[in-house]
Amino acid sequence: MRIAVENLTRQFNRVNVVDGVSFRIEPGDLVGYLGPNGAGKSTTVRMLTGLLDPSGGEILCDGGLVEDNPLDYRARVGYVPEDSHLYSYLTGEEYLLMVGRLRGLSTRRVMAKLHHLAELLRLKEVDLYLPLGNYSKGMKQKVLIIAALMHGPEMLILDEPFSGLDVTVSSIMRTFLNRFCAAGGSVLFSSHILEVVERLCNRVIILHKGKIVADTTMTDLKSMRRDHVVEEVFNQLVEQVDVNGIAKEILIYAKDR
Amino acid sequence: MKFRTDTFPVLLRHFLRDAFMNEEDGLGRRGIGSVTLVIAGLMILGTLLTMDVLVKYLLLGQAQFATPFQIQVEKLRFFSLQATISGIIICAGVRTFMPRLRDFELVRSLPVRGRTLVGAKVSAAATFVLLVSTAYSLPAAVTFTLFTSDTAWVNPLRMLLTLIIGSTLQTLGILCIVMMLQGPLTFAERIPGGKVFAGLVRGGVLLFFIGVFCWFPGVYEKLLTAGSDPGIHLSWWPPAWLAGFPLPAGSPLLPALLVVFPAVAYGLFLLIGLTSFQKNGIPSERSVHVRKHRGIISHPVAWSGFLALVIFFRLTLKRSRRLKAIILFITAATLSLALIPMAARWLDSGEAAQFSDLLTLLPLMLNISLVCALRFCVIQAVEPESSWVFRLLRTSAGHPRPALLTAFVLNLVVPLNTVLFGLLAFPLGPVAAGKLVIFHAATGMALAAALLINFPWMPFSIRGLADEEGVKLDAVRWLLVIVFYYWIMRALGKVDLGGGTAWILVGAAPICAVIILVVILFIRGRKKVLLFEVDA
Repeated sequence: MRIAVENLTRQFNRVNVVDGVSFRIEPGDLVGYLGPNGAGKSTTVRMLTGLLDPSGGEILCDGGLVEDNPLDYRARVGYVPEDSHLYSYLTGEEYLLMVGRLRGLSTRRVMAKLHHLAELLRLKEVDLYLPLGNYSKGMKQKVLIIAALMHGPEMLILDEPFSGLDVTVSSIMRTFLNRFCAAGGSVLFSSHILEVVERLCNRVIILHKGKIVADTTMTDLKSMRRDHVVEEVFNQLVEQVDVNGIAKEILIYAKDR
Repeated sequence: MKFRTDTFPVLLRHFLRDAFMNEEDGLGRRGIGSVTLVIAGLMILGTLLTMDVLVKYLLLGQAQFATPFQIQVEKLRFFSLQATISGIIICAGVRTFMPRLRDFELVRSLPVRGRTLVGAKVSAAATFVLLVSTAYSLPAAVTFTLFTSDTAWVNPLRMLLTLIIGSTLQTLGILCIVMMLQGPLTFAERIPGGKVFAGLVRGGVLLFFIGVFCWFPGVYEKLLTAGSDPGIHLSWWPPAWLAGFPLPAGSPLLPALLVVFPAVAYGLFLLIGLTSFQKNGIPSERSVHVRKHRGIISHPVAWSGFLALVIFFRLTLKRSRRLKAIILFITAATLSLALIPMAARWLDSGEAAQFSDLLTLLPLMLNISLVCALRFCVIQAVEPESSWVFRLLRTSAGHPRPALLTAFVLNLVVPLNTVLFGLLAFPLGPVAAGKLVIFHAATGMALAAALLINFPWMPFSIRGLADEEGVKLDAVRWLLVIVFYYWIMRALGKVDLGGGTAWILVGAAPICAVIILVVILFIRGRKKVLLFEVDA
């Protein structure tokens, strides 16, 4: 599945939150979509998943416009959102069954898949029968991940997917994502945490104030400024801040009684 | 409208379940029990109404029942009460019935069309309200038919069908009207002043449905005295337009209305209601979460505790749609039940005494209804998460009761009575209006203080189910306080407020009561333990 984003723009209150963003995702790509809070990452992701209409630009899937056949496109994509707007009264099993049925899977197939995936993601069988309102952040995240994987997607769009996950499951997910891409799948991994993207992705797109400021491999990004670690490159590309100075000032306020 | 056959039933089933689960109440799965209780109550109400008709006509042996005209009038009563019930239920649940951000987020990343989502949501709403309306109408329709079909001219099956179809049409018509308004009003809320406008329109619609119940006795009397030509009255009676049941002939306007009104309601709903809910127009729920607690956190001075609670009270009321709906409903119900019949009598008779009575009753009823509504609101669990904020403040804040009373006075009693003074100053004169308003402000404060005695919880942050026994006892105490208050205040209000000595006496009593009650509040507040969510 090949995705091409051409000059994508989204305005809110006449301000370009995403401003002429263009990139391509090929099969096998594990792309980190990086940027500070408010850079426009989630807005791009929401446009890519159909949750938001672009103000301008195009999204193409295998050469065809997504808006011409949105259902086919969504059937091939799995999405893990940043915020979980779940129905608190549904149990984990009921929610996943509904998502599976809406994806066109049979009840029997959904049940078999969801129970296996839950077990693999360390979600206890008994937890699947609890209402989602009783779930912790990590448990909700696991349910969302299962929902994104159940139908066998060709591409995964993940918005801060490791949020709330424990170390073991995060590690399992990192390995899975690498294997998923090795098997021909593609991943757009949106995050503001540099370390996660650095360890996981083979390519990184850095967004700042709605515009792409870098689209390169991790190796190239590191070598962009010799003798500097990625974090410094990231800081330079995204925002010039005096980290030490700011931390010092915060400490003054934190100590002030 | 075409739906994908495989996704539509799944969504319909889900949204129907969603309509039963009132998550906003924090009841979760228990919501289904509440709805079942309401449905059972409606079934009993419908049966009781029919029994009332039967007792009146059959058991007392009144021969005039055996006329088509009498049956039509009784049917109209049945439909009018149903309009009120359906209207209130639909107004209360309309936000659940319309597609919400969460529904959109759930479905739009899946291979499901937007129109399937909206179609399933609207169908689920229609199924839900029809279920509720059937619960009310079916027992009544069956009993009514059984007991009236012995007359030669009544075809039982036809009558039963007429009642059920009429009831269904009326409920669907009301649903369309309310949902049609919901779309534009949601958009109106985004522009400056739009929230006030939308609130007024919603309040007006609710008031109308309650008003149907209040106005009907007058219409009923007129219909009975109209004899063979009741059509002229029915032409101006909205529940008759939507029900579409065969009405007595005699009005040239009515047949046209029966066709035009439902057509306009359904047509406008399709045009405005559905099209205004484009996917990007769905109101954001996220913004509410983001704003949570900002009110308290952004007021460092408020961390003194007392002031924090006053600010918290105001911001919670301002932000919560559910609390505003409760206040609106209680006020609308009070105005409809107490003032509309009185206003109707004054309009009918034109007597100055009736008008004067109406004016003096207005502040009393508004003070009672709003104080009671607020008191009811503070036991609603709309902000259980904030319990931790106040738990941290426990040592510095003390008991919240005095702060709560201050919040009642600052946010309700003072502004309400200021507005009332503005309204009454013209017809009564500024001096009389001032006295009346001061009197009711003081007594309103006394009522608030009385209803807050023994209030052991942090407002808005405890689930009401924590102490069900206490809630039941509260209801009895409430009733006693309100009845006593109403009776005394009504009697005192009759005293000529213009008389110097009398007014001092009348005014001094409630003010003394306020002082005594506030003292009691403070004393008891120091002894009583404040309850938090985790304690309960």
